[in-house]
Amino acid sequence: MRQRGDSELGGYDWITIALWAILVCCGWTMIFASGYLDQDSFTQLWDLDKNYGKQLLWIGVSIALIGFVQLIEVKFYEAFTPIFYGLMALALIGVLFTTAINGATSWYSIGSFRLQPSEFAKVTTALMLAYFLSLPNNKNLSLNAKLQAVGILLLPAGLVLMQGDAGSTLVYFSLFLVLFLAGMDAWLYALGLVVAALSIGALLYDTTWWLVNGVIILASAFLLNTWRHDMTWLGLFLVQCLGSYFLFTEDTFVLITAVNGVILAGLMLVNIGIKNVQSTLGTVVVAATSILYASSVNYIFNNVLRRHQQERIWVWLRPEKCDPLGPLYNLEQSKFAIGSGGWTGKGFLQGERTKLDYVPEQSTDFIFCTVGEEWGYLGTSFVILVFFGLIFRIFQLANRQRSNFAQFYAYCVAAILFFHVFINIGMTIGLVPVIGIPLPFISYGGSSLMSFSILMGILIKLDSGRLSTFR
Amino acid sequence: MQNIYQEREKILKGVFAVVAIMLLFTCFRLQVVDTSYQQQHSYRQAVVLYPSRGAIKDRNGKLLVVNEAMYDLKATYNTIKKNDIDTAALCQLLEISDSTFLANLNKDFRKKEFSEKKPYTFLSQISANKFAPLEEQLYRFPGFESTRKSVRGYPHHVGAHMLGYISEANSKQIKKSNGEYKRGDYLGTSGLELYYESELKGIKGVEHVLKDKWGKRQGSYKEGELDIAAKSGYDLVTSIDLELQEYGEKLMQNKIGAIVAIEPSTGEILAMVSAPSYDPEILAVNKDRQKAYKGLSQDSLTPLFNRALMAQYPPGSIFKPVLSAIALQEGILTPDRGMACRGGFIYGGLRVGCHGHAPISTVGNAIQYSCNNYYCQAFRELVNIYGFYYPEKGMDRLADHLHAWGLGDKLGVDLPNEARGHVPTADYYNRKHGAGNWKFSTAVSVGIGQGELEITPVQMANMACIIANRGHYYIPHFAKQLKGDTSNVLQKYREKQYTKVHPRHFEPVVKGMADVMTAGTGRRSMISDIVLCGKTGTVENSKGKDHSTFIAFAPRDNPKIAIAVYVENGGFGSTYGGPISSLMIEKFLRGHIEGKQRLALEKFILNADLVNKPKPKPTPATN
Repeated sequence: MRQRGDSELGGYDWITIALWAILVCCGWTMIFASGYLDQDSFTQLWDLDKNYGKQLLWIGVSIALIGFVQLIEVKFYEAFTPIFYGLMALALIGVLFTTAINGATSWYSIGSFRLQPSEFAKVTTALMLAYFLSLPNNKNLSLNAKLQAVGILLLPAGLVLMQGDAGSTLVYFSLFLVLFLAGMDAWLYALGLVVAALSIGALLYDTTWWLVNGVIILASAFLLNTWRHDMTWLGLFLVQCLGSYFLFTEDTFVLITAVNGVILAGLMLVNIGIKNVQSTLGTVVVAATSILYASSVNYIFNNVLRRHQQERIWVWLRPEKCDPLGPLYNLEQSKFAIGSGGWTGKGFLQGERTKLDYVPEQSTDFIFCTVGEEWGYLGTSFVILVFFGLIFRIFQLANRQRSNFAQFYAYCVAAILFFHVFINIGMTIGLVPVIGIPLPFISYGGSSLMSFSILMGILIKLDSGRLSTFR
Repeated sequence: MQNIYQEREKILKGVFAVVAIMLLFTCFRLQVVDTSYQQQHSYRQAVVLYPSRGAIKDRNGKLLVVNEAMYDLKATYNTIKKNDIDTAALCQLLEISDSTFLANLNKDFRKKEFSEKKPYTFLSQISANKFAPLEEQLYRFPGFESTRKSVRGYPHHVGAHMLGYISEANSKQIKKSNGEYKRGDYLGTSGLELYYESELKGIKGVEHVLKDKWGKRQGSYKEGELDIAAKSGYDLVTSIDLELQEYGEKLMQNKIGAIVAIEPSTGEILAMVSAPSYDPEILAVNKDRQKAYKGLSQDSLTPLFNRALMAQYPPGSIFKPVLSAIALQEGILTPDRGMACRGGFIYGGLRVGCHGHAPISTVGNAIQYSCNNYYCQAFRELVNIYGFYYPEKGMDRLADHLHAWGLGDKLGVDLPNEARGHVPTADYYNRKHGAGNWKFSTAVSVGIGQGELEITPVQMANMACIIANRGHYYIPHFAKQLKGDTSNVLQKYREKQYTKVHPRHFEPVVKGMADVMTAGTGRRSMISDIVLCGKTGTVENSKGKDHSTFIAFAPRDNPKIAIAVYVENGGFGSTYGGPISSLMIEKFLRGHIEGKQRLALEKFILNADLVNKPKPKPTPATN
C-alpha cells in the first residue's frame, strides 16, 4: 500500500514540524530558566531531580512516541478509533477510583511518575469526532447525528468533570468549533454568545438597570425597523442610548426605565396594529427572557459555581473588588512578572520575579510569565505568533486533505491548540479567568507534552499519507 | 454545502485572528505601554491594618476591658531560605530554641492554608515589652515581618461571665464570615464580646506598600491613594456599677449561685454575679489560656457556666408576690381577704405543709408570713377560674400572665445563650398526664413557686423590677451606650414592657414586701433608715440542702435598685439570700455598710463557706 512520498522525508510537512520544534525548544528553555537558581545549585542538564532534567526525558520519550506513531498505517488509525475511544473512556472511569491529589482524582500513579488520562483523552476524542463526522451517512448532519456528535464530546468532558478538573473539561468544549465547521446550527452559537454576553454584562456591574434598558432599547429599535423599513430606528436608538446615559442619576433611573418601557410598549401597539403580531411577540418574549436571565445571573453564579471558581471570575471581571492579598495575588504577580519584562526582557536566566516564586506554578500553568519577564514583548509576541502560525498552518493542512477523516482531525487539533493557547496566555495577562490548563509544548509536564506530541504526530502522519487517499 | 463550509472556516479563522491580535495587544499594553509594571525592583503588597477593638466601661466610665498591644511575627519561607540570616541571633531575641524555630518555620506546605511564598504566622502573641528590642533588629532578618494586634486586658478582674472573652477565629467562623475574618483574627466568643462583636470589632483597613524583591518595604504605593485607614470599634459603656459588681463577687465567694441587680426605672443591669467565678484575665489571649480553659471546663462546680443567665431554678416563695398581684388583677383576691391556715393546704390526700404564723387577714399578711395555704388556695381559684372541669383554660390564663412578666421565655438580655426558664402550660400537663387527666391539684406546687416552674436569676430580678415599677419593666440589659454608633440597636431597651396587671394591684403587694423586712421572714436583713421591700424564698431541693433565695427592691417609693439573689444549698432564704440582698442594696444606695450589726452581718456572709465545708449552723429563721 505504500505510495510515493510516504517513505520519503519529503512526505512530511516541514513547516509544521519546524514551528512545533521551535515551541518545544522555547518551552524547555523556559522551564530551565524558571528552575535554574544559580551556579551552585546547578548540576547537569539531565538532573532528574529538576524539572528541566525531567522535561528533557519527556522530550526524548515524546520523540520516540512520534516515531512510533509514524510506523503505523494511516488506515489503522481510522479503523481503530472507536476502540481507542472506548478504552479511553474506561481509563477515565478507572481514574475516578484512585486517591485524590490536590482535590482531583486525575492521575494514575506509576512509581514516582503520574499519568493524567484526561490529557490523552483529548487525542482519542479528536480522532473519534473526526471518525464520526467522516462517516458517509453524516455528510449532511441529521438531528440524530448532531446529538451523537455532541455526545462524543460530552462523554469525556463529563468524566473529566467528575475527576474535579474543571479546566480540562472546558477543553472538550473547544471541539464545538469543529462541529460549527461541520455544519452545526449557527443559531446555537449565536445564542451561546448572547448568553455569555448577558452573563458578563450582569456580573460586571452591581446593578442591572443599564442592561435592562439596553435590552429594551434594542427591542424598540428592532420593532421600529419592522414598522418603518428605513433608518429612523438608528435615530431613536442613538437618542435613547445617549439620553439614558447622560440623564442617569440615582434618582432618575426608574423614570428613564419607565420612559424606555413606554416607548417599547408604544412600538409594540403600532406593530400589532399593522398586523406584525408574530414578530412583535417574538421580540418581546426574547427581550423579557434576556432581562429575566440577566437578573438571575447573580443567583446562578452564587449557587452553582464553587467559591474558588467565583473568586476567579471576580478577579477577571472586577479586580477592584478582590482582596489583593487573597484571590488577586496570583494574577497580580503574574501580570507584574510579564509587565516587568518591558520591550526586550531582563535577559535569559535573569527573571527574578518568576525565580523568586512570586508567580505561582511558574513552570506549568504560568510558564508564560517567564517568557514575558526574560524575553520581554519580543518574546511574548514571538511565541504568540508562532502558535498562531502553527494553528493557521494546520488549517492549510486540513484544506489539502483528501479524506474527510484527516480533514476533521486537523480541525480538531487546531481547535484544541487554539483553546489551550488562548486560555493559558489569556489568563496570565488577565484577559480570561484563571483556568488551570497547560500551554502546549511549553508548560512542564509529561502527560501534557506526550499527549500533544501524539496529537501532532498523528496529524503529520495523516498529512503525509494524504496522497495515498483517492478522492 | 461546500459554500457554507468555506464561509464558516473563514469566520473561524477571523475569530482566531482576532484572538491573536487581542493577546498581542494585551501583552503590548502590559509590557510596553503601562510602565507601572516596570518598576523592576518593587512590587505592591497589601498590608492589613487592624482596628483597635472598642473598650468596655462601667456606668461611671471606669474601664472594665482595655486593649493591650500584642505582636505576631510572620515569616515568608522562600524569602528566608534565600537569605542568609543569623538564626541564632533571632532565636536569642525571641527567646526560643533552635528546634522551636525550625518547627515554626517548616509548615506543611502541601496544605492549602500555607504557602512558601506568602507570609504565615511564625510566632504569635509576643508581648509589647518583649517585642521592643526585636523591632529595632528586624531589618536584619529579611522574610520576617510583624503585625500589631490588640488583645484584651482587665484592670479590675471582675465580671468574667458577662464580659466574656475573645479568641482566634476558627475555620468554621472564617468560612461563615464571607471574607470578614481571616486566619489569626480575634473575635468575641462569649459574653458581651460576642453579643456586641459587630459593634466592638471596628473595620479593618488596608495599606498598599511597595516592597523590593526581598520583601523589604520601599514606600507606599501610589502615595497611599488606595489606602484605607482602619476604623476603631465603638466603645461600649455598660450599665454595670463596678464597685457593686466587685462587692457582689466578694459576697458570693465560696458560694454557688447568682446575684442580679437591676435599676428598675431603666432596666439597666447594675451587677450580675455568678458564683463560682474566675478572673477574666486568665482567659485573655495568651499562651496559658488553653490550660486555664481546660481547668475551668473540668471543674465540677462549672465556673464557666453563667448561672445568673443560664441556670433555671424553681423560685420558691419569692414567686408569691407575683401570684398575689395576678390574683388581685383576676379578682380572686381582694387586698383584705383573710384566710385561716390549718398548718397547710389539705385537699383530699394532698397536703402542702405550712409553718406556724400569725393569722392572715390581708394579702400583705400572706406575703409577710409566706403562708403556703394561702397561695395554694389562690392558685386553685386561678386555675379553676373557668370552673373545676376546665383547668386547661385557667392554666393558660395564668401562663399568659407569667409570660407578660417575662417568665418562661428569653427576656432578650444582651448576652448570648440566655435560658428560657419554664412556665408550665395546659399543653405541658396534657402531654405529661394526658388531656383531661389532670386537675389544679396536679400543679398546685406551682402556686408556691415549686414544681415545674423554673426561673432564671435574671428573670427573678426582673420580677422584683416589675413590682418596684408597679406593673412594667424594661428588658434588662448591659449596654448603656455604644459611643459613635448611629444605628438603633439599643432602641429595644428603651421601650416599656407592660404586664397584664394594673398598677393599683401592686400597693398591697408592696406593703406586704415591706412588712417582710420589718416584721416578717426578712427581719434579719432590715436596714434601719432605708425602706426595703423584699421576699424570702426557701426552695425545696430533692437532691440536697434547700436553696436560699431572695428578691428585693429599695427604696419603697421611686426604687433605685431591684435585686435577686440565689444561693444554692444555702438553706433558708433569710440565711444568705436576704442578707446578701440587703448588703448589696445598702452598698449601692449608701456607698458603704453602716452600723455594728450590719458590719457583723457582712462579716458573717464574707466568711460563710458553702463550697469547701457546708456550715451546719444556720441561724433559726422562719420561711
